[in-house]
Amino acid sequence: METFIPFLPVGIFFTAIILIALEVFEKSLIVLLAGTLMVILGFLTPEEAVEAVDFETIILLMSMMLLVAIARKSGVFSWMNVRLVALTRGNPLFIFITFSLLTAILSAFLDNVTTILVVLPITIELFKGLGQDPKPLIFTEIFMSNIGGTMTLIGDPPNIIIGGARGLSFNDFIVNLWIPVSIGLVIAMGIMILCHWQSLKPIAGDLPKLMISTALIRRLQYLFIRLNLQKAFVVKSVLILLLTIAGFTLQPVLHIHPHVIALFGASLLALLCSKEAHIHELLHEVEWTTLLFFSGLFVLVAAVEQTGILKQMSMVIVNTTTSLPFILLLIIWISGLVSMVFDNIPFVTVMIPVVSGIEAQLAGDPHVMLLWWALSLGVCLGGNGTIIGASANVIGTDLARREGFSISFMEYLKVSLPITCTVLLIASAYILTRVYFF
Amino acid sequence: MQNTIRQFSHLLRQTEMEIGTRDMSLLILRALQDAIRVFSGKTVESFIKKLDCTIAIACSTEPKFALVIDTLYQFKDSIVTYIPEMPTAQHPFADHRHTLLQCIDRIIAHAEDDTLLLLSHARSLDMRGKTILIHDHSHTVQDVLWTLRQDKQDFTVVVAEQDHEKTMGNIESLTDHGLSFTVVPSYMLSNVEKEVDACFIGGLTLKSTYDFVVDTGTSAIISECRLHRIPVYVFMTTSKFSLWKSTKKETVQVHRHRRSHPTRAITFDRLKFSHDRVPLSSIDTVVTEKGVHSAREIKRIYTHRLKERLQQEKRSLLTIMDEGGST
Repeated sequence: METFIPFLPVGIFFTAIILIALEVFEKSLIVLLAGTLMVILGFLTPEEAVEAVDFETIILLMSMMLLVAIARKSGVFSWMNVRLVALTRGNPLFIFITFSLLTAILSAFLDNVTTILVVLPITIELFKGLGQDPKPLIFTEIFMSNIGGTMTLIGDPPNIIIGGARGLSFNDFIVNLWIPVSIGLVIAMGIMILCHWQSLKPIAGDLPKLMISTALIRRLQYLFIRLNLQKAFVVKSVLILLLTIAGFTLQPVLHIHPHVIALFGASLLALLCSKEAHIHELLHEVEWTTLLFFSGLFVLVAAVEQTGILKQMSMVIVNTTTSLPFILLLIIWISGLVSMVFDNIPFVTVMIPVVSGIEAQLAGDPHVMLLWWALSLGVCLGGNGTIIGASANVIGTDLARREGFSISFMEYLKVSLPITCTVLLIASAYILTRVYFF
Repeated sequence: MQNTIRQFSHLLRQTEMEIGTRDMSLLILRALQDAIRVFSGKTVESFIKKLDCTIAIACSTEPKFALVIDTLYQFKDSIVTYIPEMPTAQHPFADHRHTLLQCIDRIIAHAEDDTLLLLSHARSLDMRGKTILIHDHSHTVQDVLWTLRQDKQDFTVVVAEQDHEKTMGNIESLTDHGLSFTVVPSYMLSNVEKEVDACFIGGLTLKSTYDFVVDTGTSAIISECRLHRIPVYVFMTTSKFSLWKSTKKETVQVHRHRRSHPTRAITFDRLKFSHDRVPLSSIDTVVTEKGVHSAREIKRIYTHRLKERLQQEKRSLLTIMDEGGST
C-alpha cells in the first residue's frame, strides 16, 4: 500500500486536470478542493500549503486586473479605437492591419482577454457594416493577442508564473522574446492577409463602398462622443498605466519587484480615481476565481513536487539526452502541443519544477537560460492551436457567436493549426539560432 | 450591388434610430467628404458615374430615406453648377477634389439655413402659457421648443414616454435647454389630455400617399389629440419629403423578438415596429422652411418638388445608361 502513496498526489492532480478539461465544474473550485484534500491527506502541512502559494504572482495578476479595470472604465480604450479607426479612412486592409497590430501591442501590456474584449467588438461592427465576413479578422486578433502577449512578463499568465518562479524581469522577457514574437506576428498576419486578399483589397475606387465605410466610422465617432468622456479620468488612467509600465522597464535600476510596482500603480490609480470609479465596483472587475485557481494550483503542484516525481522526470529527460538543442525543441513542441488542448496554467506550473531540475542538471551550459524562453514560447504560442487553447480564444469566439458569427471547433482548427505550427517553427528556429550562433 | 444596398439600408436604419434623420443626413454628407478625400478615380466624370450608382443605391434602400436621397441629388446638381463645362469635358479628379468638398460644405450650410428658416417660421406660433405635448425623438421639435423659449414664451412640456433611449434623449435635451417638463407614460396620456394645448411632432418624411412617417406610438397620440380637438403641429423641412410613388406599407420595419416570461417557463413572440404612418389630413399645421402651412398648401409644395425630382432622376438615369453603353 505504501508504494502507492507517492502516486496518490499525482492521481489527485491528474483527476483535477481531467475535471478542469471536462469543464463540468468551475476550475477554481476543483483545484481548491484538490489542494485542501492534499493537506487533509497529509501530503502537505497547512503551513507548507500557504508557503507554496506564490503571492508575488497573485498580487501582480490582481494589480494588473485592477489597473486595466480602471483604465477601461475611463473609456480610454474606446477613445483609442475610435481614433485609430478614423486613421484607416475606411480602407479594409488598413483596418485589418491596424487592429491586428493594436491587439498585439495591447496584449503585451494587458491581459489577453481584456485586449480581445476591447478590440474585437469594434472590428466585428466595422467588418459586418462593410458587408464582409469578420471571421478572418476575429481569428487574426485572437492569434495576435496570444502571440503579442508572449513578449512581456505581464502579457500572459504563464509568463507571470515563469517570471515569478525564476526571478526573470520585465526587460528579460522583452530582450529575449521580441525577435520570435515580432517575426511570428508579421508572418501570421501576412498569411491571413494573403488568404483573404479578396475581401481586404483597397476600395478607394468604389465610391458607394467607400462612403458606407466612412459613414460607419463617422457613426462610431458620433456614438463615442455621446459617451461623455471625462478627460481628467482618462489622463490619470493613461499616466498611471504608462508609469507602471515604465516602472517595470526600470526594474533593474529601481530594484523593486514587479508585483510591488503593479500594486503601487493600481492602488494609486484607484485612489486618484475614487470619485469616478468606486473601489467596490472595481473589485468586482477583478477575476477572483482566476486568482483562487492559481493559488490552488500552486498548492497542488507543491504536493506533487514533494513526491519527487517531477525531479525524477527532469532526471529522465537529462539522462535520455544531454543535447540542449534537443531538450529545447522538446520543451517548445511538447508545451505547444499540450497548450493547444489543455489549460496552459496547470501545465506551466508543473513544468517549472521540471525545467528547474533540467537547469540544475545542465548547470554550466552558457545557453541554459534558453530552457525558460523555450517554455514561455511553447506554452504561450501553443495556446493559439485550438478554440479551447487559451482564454482569449474562448472569449473571442464567444463574442463572435453573440454577433451572429458562429465558429466551430474544426473551422477554427483549420486556420489555427497551420498558423500555430508556423509560429512554433519560428520559435524553434530562433531558439536554435541562439544556441548555435550566440 | 444587392449586398451594398443591404449594408447601406442597415447602416441608415441604425443611424436614424440612434441620432435621428437630420443628423443622419449630415453624417452621410460628412462621410461622403471623407470618401472624396481618398477616392482614387481619375476624372470628375468617373466620380459622377460612381455618385449616380451611390444615388441609385440610396434610392433602393429599405426603407428609403428621403433626406439622404435629397442631399445626394443636391450634391450632384451643385457639382454641375460649380465645375465649368460639366459634363462635356474631362476634369482631372485631383484638381477638383477641393471644389467637391466645398460643394458638400455648402449643402451642409444650406441644410442648416433651412432649419434656421423653419425655426424662424415657428416663432410665429404663440405658445405662451400653454402645455405642449411631445413624443418623438425629433431634434427639430427640440430646437423649436428652445427657439420659442428664447423668444420669452413661457410654456410647459409634457413628454409622452416611448422607447427608453429616445425618451432619455428628449429628457437630456430639455434639461440642457433649461425647459421644464413632466414625463407621462404614453398609455396614461388620457389622464392629462385636458391639460394639453398643443402637440408637436417631428416627422421622418411625407410620402406620396400624403402620410407622414413618424415614430411609433405617434399615431395613437394624434388620434387622441383629434378626439379632444388638440391642435397638432408637424415640423419638417421639405427636403425630407419622399419624392417617389410609394405604397402604404413601405418604411415600416417589423422586428420580431422571442421573449421569455420572467418567472414562468413561457416564451412568446413580441413584435416591434419601426414607425407609424399618420395621414396629412390629421395634422392641423405643418411648419417648413417655406412657412407655416395648411394640409392643402403642403400638397401643392409636395407636387412641385416631385416634378423637380423626376427631372433630376431623368438626368441621373441618362448618365448611368451612358456608363452602361461605354462599358
